[in-house]
Amino acid sequence: MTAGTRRQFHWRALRKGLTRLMFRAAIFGARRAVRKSDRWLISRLEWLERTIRRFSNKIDPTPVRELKELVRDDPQGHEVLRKVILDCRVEQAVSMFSGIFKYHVGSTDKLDSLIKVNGPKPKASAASALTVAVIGDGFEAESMAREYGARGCRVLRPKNVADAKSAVDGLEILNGRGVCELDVSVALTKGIAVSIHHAFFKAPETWRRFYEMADSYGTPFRVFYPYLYYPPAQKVKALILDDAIGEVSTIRIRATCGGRGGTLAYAPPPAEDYLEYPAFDHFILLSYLGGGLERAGAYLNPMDPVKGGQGVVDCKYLHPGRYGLLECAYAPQLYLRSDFLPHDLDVEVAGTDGIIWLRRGMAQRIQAAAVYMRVGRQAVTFGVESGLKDEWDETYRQAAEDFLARLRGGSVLEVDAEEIVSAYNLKNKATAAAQSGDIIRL
Amino acid sequence: MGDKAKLNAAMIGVGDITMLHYPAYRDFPDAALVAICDTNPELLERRKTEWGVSKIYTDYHALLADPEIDIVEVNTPHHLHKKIVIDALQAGKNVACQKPMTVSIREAEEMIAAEKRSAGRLRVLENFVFYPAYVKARELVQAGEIGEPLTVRFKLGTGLFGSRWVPLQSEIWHLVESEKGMGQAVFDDGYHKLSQAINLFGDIETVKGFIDRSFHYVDMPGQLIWRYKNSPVLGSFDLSFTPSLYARSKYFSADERIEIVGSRGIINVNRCTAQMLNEPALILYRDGQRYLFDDLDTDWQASFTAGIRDFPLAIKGNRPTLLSGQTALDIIKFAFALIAAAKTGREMRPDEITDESFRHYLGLPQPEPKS
Repeated sequence: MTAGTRRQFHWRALRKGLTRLMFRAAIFGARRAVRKSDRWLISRLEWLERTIRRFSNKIDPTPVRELKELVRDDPQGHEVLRKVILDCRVEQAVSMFSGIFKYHVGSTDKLDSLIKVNGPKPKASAASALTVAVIGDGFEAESMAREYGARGCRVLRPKNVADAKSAVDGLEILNGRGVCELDVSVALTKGIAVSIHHAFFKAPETWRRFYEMADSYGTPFRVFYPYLYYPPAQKVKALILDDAIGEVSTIRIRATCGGRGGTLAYAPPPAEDYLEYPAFDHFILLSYLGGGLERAGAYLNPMDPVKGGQGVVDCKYLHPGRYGLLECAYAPQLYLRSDFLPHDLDVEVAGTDGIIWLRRGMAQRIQAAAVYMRVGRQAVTFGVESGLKDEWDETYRQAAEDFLARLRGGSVLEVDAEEIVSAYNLKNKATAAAQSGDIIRL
Repeated sequence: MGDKAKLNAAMIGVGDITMLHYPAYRDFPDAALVAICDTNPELLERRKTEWGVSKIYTDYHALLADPEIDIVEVNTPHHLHKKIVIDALQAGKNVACQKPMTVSIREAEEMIAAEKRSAGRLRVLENFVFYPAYVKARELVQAGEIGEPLTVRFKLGTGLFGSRWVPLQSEIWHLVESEKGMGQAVFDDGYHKLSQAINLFGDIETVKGFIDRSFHYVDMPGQLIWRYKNSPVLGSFDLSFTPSLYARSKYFSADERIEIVGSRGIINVNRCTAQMLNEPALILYRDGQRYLFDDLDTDWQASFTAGIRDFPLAIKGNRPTLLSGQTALDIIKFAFALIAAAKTGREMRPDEITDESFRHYLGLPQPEPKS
């Protein structure tokens, strides 16, 4: 980032803060106003209407006039108005009015500036030779081993942790039968950095213990979930954090497992208990984009090898007014072009100001830009034109960079441990939620 | 009556929504709008001049006594539907009632019972099932173009920008209804999506999910899910609170989309009342290709025109109407079940919901028994 763009970012942040402060004050002012007498309120609305007419030809005073008439002529309408103002959630109201100001009235936020909003760029600080043991087989282990090798690391491919001896700086555990919880704990106590594939351990408590242990021993530790390192997914997260679409209200992930179009052989999803299946296990993405989770409900039908199958997991986030949905579909005759597996991902995040779509993942069902955003009156794509790398290979490059940055003390992808634990909690309880019928607390 | 070359239609209630009804009678050889009725004489005069209707009434009983009228549209606010619909059916008229049919299950059942005693027929107009992109999507599903249907998702996003300003006064009664559980997003506007959901894959078995409240009255955001009775398809309704999102429309600025995933393909209906995306209204993905349907009529008016014309055509052709009273009751029960499920955090069966249980779940007082 140049000094110029850094200044621009600081200015945007300051302007955003001031706008929100202004609307927060306006809401508190409106709350005081609706408690006053009707006469007082009518006179202030008349003043506001006159002021708008006198000074602005861009703003239509009709809503203010109608409000005035409502207060004056309709007691029921007046009561509605009071409730709207007194019972609104301040954060939601601030977000809504800031968005209207930003994208409609003031048009202060040009979308060009959002192109510069990027996810973290992991960077290792020193190029000292490191030894990384990559445990597991399959294309993800091959890809990670290749990426570490390409970065000057000595790469070991042991069958299990014991075989790795003590000569390693980091353990990249992707799959394999020879690894247990104790191996990870011992490695963390010895100061060996550990990265574990998200499908490896199921219990949220296990992940919590790992995070706590890593924290107390100061040992680098991460969960390896590919979409955390997929640049378009990081872009979506960066846009949310930058408040591009305002307060997020719904997040929907459609995970589709096709039957044709991939280059790698794979086993179809099991008939039952398929939430662990790689094409459907996107609970971490749900929590990465929306935060911790509070309650859930689900319907999970069996997966048939010929007819396919489906499941939906519905959730409420800890954040007020935010809800999520993970829709899993096994479509055995569906063609999804992919250099890897025919696993399609489609994410839609809606906020007070607009919607962001992540339109592909491992498979490339459509060849349009990976990220598309509609906000206010505007639309923007993030693809080749903005330098966003959307090849799935890039995921493993970013993941290797991130792990080496953890080993060498550089900047890394920050993921909240509680949110990861929350995602596992949801995954573990979704089946119970489907069986119980009721919404369950996580 | 079915032998008449042209059926005579009348409207009771000529408020805003009827501006979308009237065009269906223009240049339509099977029915003509011949009479209108409203309690507002100024509005009545205006509509008479605009539409060139010869007969006007301020008392709907007088209209019902007119033997020339074959079809009566009931377009009043929904809490007034029951009495007018029953009176019209008793007068032997064919009745087209604007959705939602009513705000209570018992009233809906009374209206259906009145139809059984009448020589006339009852239908409840819901226009979304006649929207050309939706109609084509349903045809594609039924033709097996996407294989076995797996999931269906309905999306509704609010928008304050892109359409005409709706006067606050006309929104107030909607907001007040919201306090009784009949919110705009799930019960009123949602009725359209729930109607399509039933029209696509049949009756609903169970529902669950979440509905939040924004600004006290707005029943969104939310995420609702359901299971069908006779289909393995799972459904969802995604309600996003997106007030600042611009969606261009001559009518209402709403982001409305449907996605149907099948074992072989995916269908996207990208708009209805408003346009939010620069995409054709209907896209079919299959075998690695996208098929874009650029030739469909995308104007929301098309759904009203087709929907209103379907009723006289059904009468003349002596075929069932697409939206019977029973279907309307099923939609109301579906909506009540969703609202109750979200309120209680429990799974609900639309078949088992009653007015009493609905009010109980929402913590509303039960009405006093009539003496």
